Amino acid sequence: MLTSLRDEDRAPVEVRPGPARLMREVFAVAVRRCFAGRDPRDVTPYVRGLLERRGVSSDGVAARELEAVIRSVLGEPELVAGIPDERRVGMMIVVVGDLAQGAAADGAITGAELLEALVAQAETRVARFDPPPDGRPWRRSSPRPVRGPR
Amino acid sequence: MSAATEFLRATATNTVAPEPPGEDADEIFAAAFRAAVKLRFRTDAPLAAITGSVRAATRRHAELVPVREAEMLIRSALGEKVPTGEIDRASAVKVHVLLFATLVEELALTDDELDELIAAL
Repeated sequence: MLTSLRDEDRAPVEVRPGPARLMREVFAVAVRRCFAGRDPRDVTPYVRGLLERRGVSSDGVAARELEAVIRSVLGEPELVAGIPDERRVGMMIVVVGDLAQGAAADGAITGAELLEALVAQAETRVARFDPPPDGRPWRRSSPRPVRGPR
Repeated sequence: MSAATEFLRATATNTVAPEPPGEDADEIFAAAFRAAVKLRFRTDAPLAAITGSVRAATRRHAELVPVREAEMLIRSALGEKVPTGEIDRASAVKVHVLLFATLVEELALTDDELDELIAAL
């Protein structure tokens, strides 16, 4: 996970469901800690800045898809319809790295420490809400039945 | 009414257009879309209101509506700086026509008001 984030390489996380699930959680944590409670319109200039820093056109498909992927974890999951999983994971890695760099620029913590903290929090959330398979499915298809009084 | 405006009216009233809109209809569709957007939203409309209209369009027209492009074209019509590059002609026409119909429906325009809107294009 940390290798993927540090090297901006999605290969280590996209081959197995566990790391891919964890990456989605890392992304959700990073994005929510930056954007939750803010106007979703704030995502647009953030994406423009990110793409311009990377020398990518900020007026086309890449910008629309990146904004959609970010807003998908802020309550608008329908926006990512039609964006392939592998492209989403690539965008998540770039955004997490960029947000971590931005936060580290304040000086209180290094980017590497922040990434480790993000991964640790994501692991806690996955374990708490969506535990990995130990004979069970990743996500229960239906809630456990509630047993009533006999 | 031109073939393009007849086509718009038919789409908005859920009837069959008498003939295809023609090759030169794109400009009229775009103008109709912009007029409906400005009638439906204030320039400072919450994003949730805009995405709500896009969702309404997808409920009515399903996967025909390119959702990301639809939202950005609405926000652009309201004067916001948003990414609208690399939208192909087919996607733009779908957004202009289907969102025009959806917004007119959301405004609950009468047929006379719809005709006035179209006549002013």
